[in-house]
Amino acid sequence: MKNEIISEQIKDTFEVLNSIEKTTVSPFFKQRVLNKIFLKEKEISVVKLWFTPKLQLTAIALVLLVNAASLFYVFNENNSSTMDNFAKEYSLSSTNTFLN
Amino acid sequence: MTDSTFISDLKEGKPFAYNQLLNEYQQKVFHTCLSFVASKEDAEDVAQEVFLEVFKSICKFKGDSKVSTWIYRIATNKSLEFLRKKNAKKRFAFFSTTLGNEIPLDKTVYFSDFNHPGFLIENKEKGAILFSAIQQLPEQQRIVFTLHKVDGKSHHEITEIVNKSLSSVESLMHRAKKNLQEKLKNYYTE
Repeated sequence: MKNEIISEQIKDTFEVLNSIEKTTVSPFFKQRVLNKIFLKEKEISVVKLWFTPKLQLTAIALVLLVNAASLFYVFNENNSSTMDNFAKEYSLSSTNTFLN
Repeated sequence: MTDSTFISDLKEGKPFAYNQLLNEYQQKVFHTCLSFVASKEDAEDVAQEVFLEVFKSICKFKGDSKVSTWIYRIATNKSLEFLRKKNAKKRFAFFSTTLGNEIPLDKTVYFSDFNHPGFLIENKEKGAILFSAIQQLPEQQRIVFTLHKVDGKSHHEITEIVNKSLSSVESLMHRAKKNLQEKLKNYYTE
């Protein structure tokens, strides 16, 4: 008896799917979506307009140039002379101590 | 207008093409999303995401399938993504309540999200029970069952959307029904 009731309940539950009423989308939905789409399109085109491929290439070339210049500077610097200058500047040279 | 002309117009970003796309698909996409998320507000949000995705990805569309199939596929994926996020939030809320020694979610709370506008008041409770059971199905079974029984799509349309053979779809449908019956039986015996 209990099983029959449960089977009936299950059948009734599945049955509700046959009585779903049609729901319509809001009347402003289309306009809302179109606005969003064109707003996004505008954002993209503004970026495209400002950051042109020529400008992109120039920016990359500039970054590469700065990197190359700094590397060149670091590896061509005379380390020992820099150290001497540094020592002299702070009176740390062996030939110029406080005891002398 | 043929599908290919329509697609090339969309790819070129012609406003009338978007207008036409929305005229033709807004109701259908909304209905598919509503079948999964069961709330008008959420379905509209997801449908909006679907059209934005269509706009974004139209350049990548190769025309291997019909435009409608491609759009329904996006709608299905977006709806499932929405449900995943919602469930993750729910799980977090559940852990918070249990850690805070509050009363865990009971059946009433669990079904409280159900707000499908297409269900008559007298069917709301049963609808909530059924939708809750559908949520517990494995993903493929859930997709096939929802598209067929809730959204009203034919088996043939579903084969194109899920990219499976007719026999696979029928088998998934059969297993989904069986699993649902089992879950409902457990629910009503409790």
